[in-house]
Amino acid sequence: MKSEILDRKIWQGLVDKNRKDQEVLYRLYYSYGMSVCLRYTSNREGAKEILHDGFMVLFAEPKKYNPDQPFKPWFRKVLVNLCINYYKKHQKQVHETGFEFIPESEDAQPSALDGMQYDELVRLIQRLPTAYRTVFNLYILDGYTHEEIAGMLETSVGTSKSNLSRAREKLRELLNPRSHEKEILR
Amino acid sequence: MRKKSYDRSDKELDDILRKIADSAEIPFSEEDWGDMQARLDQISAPSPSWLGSKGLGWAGAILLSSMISLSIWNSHQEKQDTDQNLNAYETQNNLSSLNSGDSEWSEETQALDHSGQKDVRQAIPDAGNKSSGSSLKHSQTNTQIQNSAGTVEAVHASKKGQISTAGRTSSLPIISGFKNPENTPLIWEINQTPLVDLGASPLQKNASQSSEIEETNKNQEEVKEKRDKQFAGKFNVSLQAAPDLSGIKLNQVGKAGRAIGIGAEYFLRPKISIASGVFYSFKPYSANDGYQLSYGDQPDRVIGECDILDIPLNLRFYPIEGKLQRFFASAGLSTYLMLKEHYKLEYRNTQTGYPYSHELDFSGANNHFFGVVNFSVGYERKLGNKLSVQVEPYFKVPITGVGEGDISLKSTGLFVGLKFYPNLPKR
Repeated sequence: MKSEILDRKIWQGLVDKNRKDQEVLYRLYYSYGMSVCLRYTSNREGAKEILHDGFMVLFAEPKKYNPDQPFKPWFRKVLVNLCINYYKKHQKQVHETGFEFIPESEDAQPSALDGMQYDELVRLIQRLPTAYRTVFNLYILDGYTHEEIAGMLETSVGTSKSNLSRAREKLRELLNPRSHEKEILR
Repeated sequence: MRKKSYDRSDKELDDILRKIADSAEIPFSEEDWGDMQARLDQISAPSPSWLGSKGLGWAGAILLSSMISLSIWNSHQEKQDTDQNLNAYETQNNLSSLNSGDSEWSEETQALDHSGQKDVRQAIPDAGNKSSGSSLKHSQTNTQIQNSAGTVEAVHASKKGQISTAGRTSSLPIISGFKNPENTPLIWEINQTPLVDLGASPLQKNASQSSEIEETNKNQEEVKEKRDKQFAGKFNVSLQAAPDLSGIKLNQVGKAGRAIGIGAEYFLRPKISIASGVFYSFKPYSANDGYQLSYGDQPDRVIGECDILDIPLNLRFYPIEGKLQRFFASAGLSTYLMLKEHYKLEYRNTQTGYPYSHELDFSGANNHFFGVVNFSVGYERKLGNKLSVQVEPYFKVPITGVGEGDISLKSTGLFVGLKFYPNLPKR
């Protein structure tokens, strides 16, 4: 899509380390980048740091991006890779500490699926265990195959499929008002 | 009627979730842009554009090659001096042998005493030496011999009948005009007769000649002895490696790193040298504080790994020096070129208590020109004429903050190295 190609003038500004152009790009893709990062992390602070790392890849070496190619897929790939790194470190921490933090939902009940907003979806996804959440994000929302996911996460294809299946199951539970009530009563 | 989420197929559920995810509109945060700007400022600040890591690498290379060139030039100069001395000495020997052994020449000279001038070249069998301006005037013979290579001029002065033993002239020629800048005695082999000037009175000269010969021999022995006692030449190159311990606080030193590189040393004075080199260092460390972020929360713990190019410039003093071993103390400044920096910053969420970490990577983002002070002492022992081994415990402390986090990264370790002395002159 033509609109996804980064304006040459902005790209040249990035090459010249022009702060104004860096700001323009940051403003243009802040929402998009943040929407990707928030899905993979447990908190906003972590998402922001990954997003900034992603922008730094571009600001430090703008020529890593080919200005003839669409920008959004490239940027998304950069961010997803950074999110995977984040996931791997998080997993290591889980192994070391023996527990995983899953944020509690502040809302009593997520909206109906048809009227659901992005922030509700993020809160829902963030309630998934990290391994489920990561595969869910990679497969359903970012379009990677199980083979690719297995390679990225250094697991097997079977594990990837199994985690996706459990992620779906868990999501359905969270979206089901009855199961949500049961969870509250526990 | 709307379908319940649990009634939908996987594909329907996926599509809806994908649509929601793609429709995200997250309000822009000026505060986040402020953080981003702070990070950009840090990256763009460090070094003047005209002198990046490449520039300093070149500067290091130029410094090293200058030291090598200087040494080679000095060696060449001194070699020339030695050659001149040797040429002069050989010329003297020729003259001496002519003077003392060739009676024909002597007789001819004597016979010509009153007959005006004669070209001495005829009488000197060495065709390789070019004689010029030779003249015999009255009772005095002056011979100038020019050596084509060293422009050695030897003036032979003798007076008829001055020193004569058993019909042989024993007067010795004097060599003047050849370069002997340090006024040091020439290198004569044992049993060779040094050259002394003969003055006006031949008998007095005989006595003074002997004393001068003795003195010269003594000087010669002293020089030889002094040279023998000297450790090695003026210049050396070395290959060094060290285990390296780094930390912000000395009690927080953890995993050992390493340093390896090449060094060069040039002696400005017999006991003072200047040493430089290029050393690659890998410095891992961890600390509970000391890492400064210009934005966001300060981390509870930092784990860092830095790949550094260390270019030291040190002055060394050798207070104790023997023939086989010597000790030195060294101080100077180092330039750190931060090739790669990797930091893991560990935080604790103040609301949930849950720990989280963040990793930062930088490449060539920070250079510290003469920003680190070096102290070391060392011991060097000869392994051969051109080879020695050296151990050097060192301590490095920065005077500026090092790396992205402006940390006070101190290092200590023990350099072990082999030093090679090329075929260069002694000090």
